[in-house]
Amino acid sequence: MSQSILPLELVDRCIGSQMFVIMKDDKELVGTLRGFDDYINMVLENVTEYVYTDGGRRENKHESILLNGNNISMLVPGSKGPDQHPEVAEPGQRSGI
Amino acid sequence: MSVSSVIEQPLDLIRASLDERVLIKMKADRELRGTLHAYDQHLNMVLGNVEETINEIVVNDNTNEQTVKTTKRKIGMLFLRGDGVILVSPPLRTK
Repeated sequence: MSQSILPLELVDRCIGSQMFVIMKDDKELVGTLRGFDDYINMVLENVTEYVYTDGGRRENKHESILLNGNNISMLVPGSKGPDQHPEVAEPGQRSGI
Repeated sequence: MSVSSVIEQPLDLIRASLDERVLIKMKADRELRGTLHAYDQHLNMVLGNVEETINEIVVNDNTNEQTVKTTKRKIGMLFLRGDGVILVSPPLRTK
């Protein structure tokens, strides 16, 4: 069995490379990870922000941001963003009222 | 490196699932199924070979009928922030 790695160590190894950030609400970001702290607040560069609404997906670009770690749900190291992980919709099930 | 098998506190149950497939239920009706590679005391985790499931409840405005819309996507390796975790469990064998 290989030596185990702590979660924050994984993030540390990704400094300098692309990071795909999935937020708790309907927002995702892709950018170059410049640094982070114990609260997983993150400094990202060359960022594309994806905002999901009922009407679809909107993109905003930012040169450099400080992202508040409070609302982060998941981090995907080395990913180019949501287009690299396409969604598969499944048939809906009625739970009727 | 051998892992201790004595379960004394709740986090020991998660330690027993290291390198196994786990089901994580998260806030906002999300689920993750993946291989647990690492965790810490905040329940931050590193998961591999992950399938994310989002169960969205869609209400028909005319009929007030509720439908569950399920979307899935696959992610190779990810870091999960612990404060969004509701529960951690070995996945059901039937799935």
